[in-house]
Amino acid sequence: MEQSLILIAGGILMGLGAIGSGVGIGMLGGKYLEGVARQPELQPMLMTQLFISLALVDAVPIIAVGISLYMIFAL
Amino acid sequence: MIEALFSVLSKRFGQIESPLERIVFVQFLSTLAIGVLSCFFGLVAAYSALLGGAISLLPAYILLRRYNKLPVGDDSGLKQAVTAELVRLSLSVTLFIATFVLVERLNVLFFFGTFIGTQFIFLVVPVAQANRLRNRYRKGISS
Repeated sequence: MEQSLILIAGGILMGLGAIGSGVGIGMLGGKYLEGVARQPELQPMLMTQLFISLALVDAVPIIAVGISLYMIFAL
Repeated sequence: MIEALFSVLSKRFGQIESPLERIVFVQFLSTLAIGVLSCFFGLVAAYSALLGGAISLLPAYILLRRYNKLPVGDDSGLKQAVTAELVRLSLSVTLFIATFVLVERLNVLFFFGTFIGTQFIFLVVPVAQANRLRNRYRKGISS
């Protein structure tokens, strides 16, 4: 019973993190495409900013995945 | 000695042009610093902190290498970025599972503390650079 609750909690933790990062990455990608379509000469600069922002947006779900994997494997 | 080390590191930091490379460099340094400081709390804390930093650092390094491989003016930027993020995420998950399965004694506080701290360097370094630029701009206006 306890193990199955831990598995469910880990799944919820991963899923909620994935929802947030999915929305964030979608918005980032959309804005990036808008920016490149408006000013194609700024593409290299926008690309750098996109990589940094993507890494930042991805940080929170990766932390959630790490904690949930800890719950699943180590608890 | 610490001052000399600090000046060498800040000089090296100033020479790096790519913002992503700067972030990875700061992540590497902070992982080392936290690892050394964690030695005061015992061996388990030290290697837990280093493992947490390494799990954050290795995927970031992969991201950096993929970013550096991009040809200038290539229009497949978004595809490359999303692919790099997927690789980063899968590598992080693999490293986490490997750590939790293979390492028996782990100090969770130091492990996740270092991991989360090094993840947020992606936020700290660009903000610090932007503040420095803003201050320089304000000084230029006032003088």
